[in-house]
Amino acid sequence: MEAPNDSGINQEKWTTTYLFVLGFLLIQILAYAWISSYFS
Amino acid sequence: MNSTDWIVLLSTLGFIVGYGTWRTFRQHDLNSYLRGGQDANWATVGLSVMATQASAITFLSTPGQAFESGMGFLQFYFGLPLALVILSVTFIPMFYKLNVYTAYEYLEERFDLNTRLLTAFLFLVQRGLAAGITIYAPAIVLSTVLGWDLNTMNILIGALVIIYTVSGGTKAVSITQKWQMAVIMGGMFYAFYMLIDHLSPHVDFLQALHVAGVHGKMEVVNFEIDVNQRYTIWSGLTGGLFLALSYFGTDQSQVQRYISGSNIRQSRMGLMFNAILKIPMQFFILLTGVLVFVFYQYMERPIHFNEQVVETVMQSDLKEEGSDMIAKFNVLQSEKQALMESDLEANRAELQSIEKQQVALNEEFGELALQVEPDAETKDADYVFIRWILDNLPHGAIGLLLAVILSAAMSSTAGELNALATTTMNDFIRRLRKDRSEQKGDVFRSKMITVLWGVLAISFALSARLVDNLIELVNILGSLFYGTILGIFICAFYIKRVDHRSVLLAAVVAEASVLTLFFTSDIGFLWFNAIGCAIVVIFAHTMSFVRRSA
Repeated sequence: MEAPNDSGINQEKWTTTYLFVLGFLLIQILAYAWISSYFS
Repeated sequence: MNSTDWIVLLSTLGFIVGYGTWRTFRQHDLNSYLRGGQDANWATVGLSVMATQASAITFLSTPGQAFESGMGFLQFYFGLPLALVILSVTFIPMFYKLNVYTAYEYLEERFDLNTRLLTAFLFLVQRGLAAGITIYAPAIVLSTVLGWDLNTMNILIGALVIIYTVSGGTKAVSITQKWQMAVIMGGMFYAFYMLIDHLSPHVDFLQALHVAGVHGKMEVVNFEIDVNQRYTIWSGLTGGLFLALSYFGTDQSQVQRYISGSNIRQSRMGLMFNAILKIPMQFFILLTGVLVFVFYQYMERPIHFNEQVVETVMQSDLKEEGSDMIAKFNVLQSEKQALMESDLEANRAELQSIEKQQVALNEEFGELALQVEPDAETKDADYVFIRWILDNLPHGAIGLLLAVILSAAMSSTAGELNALATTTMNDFIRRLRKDRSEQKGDVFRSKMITVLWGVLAISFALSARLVDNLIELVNILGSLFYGTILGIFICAFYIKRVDHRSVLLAAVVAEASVLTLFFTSDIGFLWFNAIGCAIVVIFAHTMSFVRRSA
């Protein structure tokens, strides 16, 4: 049996969701970095 | 604790157990019992995944960790959203396509039966032991602080979980976890509000964060590249990613939660719910611990938050030394309280110096207790938050916060017992008998297996005191197996050309190498996750290449 591919259902919509999740992670890291320096 | 607390505690737990049992006791087939009929929506999946991960120790120890070391622990979770996106793209569609009950079932489709059985066995050993600890860890803290009998606590937590997990299976676990998360978040928000309220005569919220900042507690992100520092953004993004991949992708107690979704979309949304909310939730819990720290800058602070440690020293021959230390500690606390009411920035160096001396006295006092009683519970971080709750919250609220801790213990234990029973039933009993189709009595057998795992978990929790530093032991055991399991799954999902003989041999070699290194070297146990995984992937890949070339 071969390794799987993504199911392909609504691929574009999911790509947007994943980009949103990763973007939110980046924003959080930047916010936490700001908190670290502001309250040091 | 008074009668109001008891009423709140017992009615909260009684409602959750009763509701979970009543709503789900009629399960006629294995699909309903082990996969909850696969009809859960994304909110149920998301909350269930979150509740399984959040054990009682999350709410007892995490605020204590922030009290001691600040917010840096948050970085440990930075790899989690990345892992959940990877799982959502690759693992979830495959689990649904093959219509599996367990993650290990997929390994037989991809490789062979032996690989499936080996991986399922490694899971049962590791998670079976961990289930005992999930019960024992809060029981030991609550019995120490409240004077309750430890064995009774172990049996009570275990028995309550067994009732609804056995009765309603996966659906009961998911339904109760929704309510447990509601109790947990409600209780934590209330505690947070009360902390700010208690601090308000001295400082407002922003000033409180500045006070924490003076002591370095607000350093959330550390960009330094230093392997000796446990929590940096780099270790969080790499180590945290691997750990989250293993935990969410290969641990049946989590896989079972998201494959109970009614379709791929609901499962993915449930995981994305966690990818978005998990870090803010941990931030909030850690911030609660930081506010407890600020609280004790203004108020009276005990030398040790575990009162039993203080009593142990004060009732021994070392009580004079102990009294001297307490006197010194209290003088430092008074000096600090006076400085806190004047200019914070001008007194920064002096405040830091006093805090350092107090931490040193706390440690010395713990060592005194260990001289008197080598088994004394001197890890103060576990006792900070519960001590604050008991000393500062009104009656009724204490009962609610105890319900939070016990709900967290029950939600993760239920997920574990349910997964252990499913793996035993599906990957061993059903798979190894002649007729693999569902037979009359399979639901009953699954229930009995759940009872058996529950009794085993309680027995392990009851004997846990006999083993030194047990939580570390279980973490070590986990690290010895997780790497190999993750390596097998990575080969299965991402390396097309690896065949079943290569991966099985690689898994055996990896496990043997990890165990040899464990007994013969000083390598820190967390590294075994990466070592085991790397050996499986490299060895399986090389073997497959050699076999194809030959």
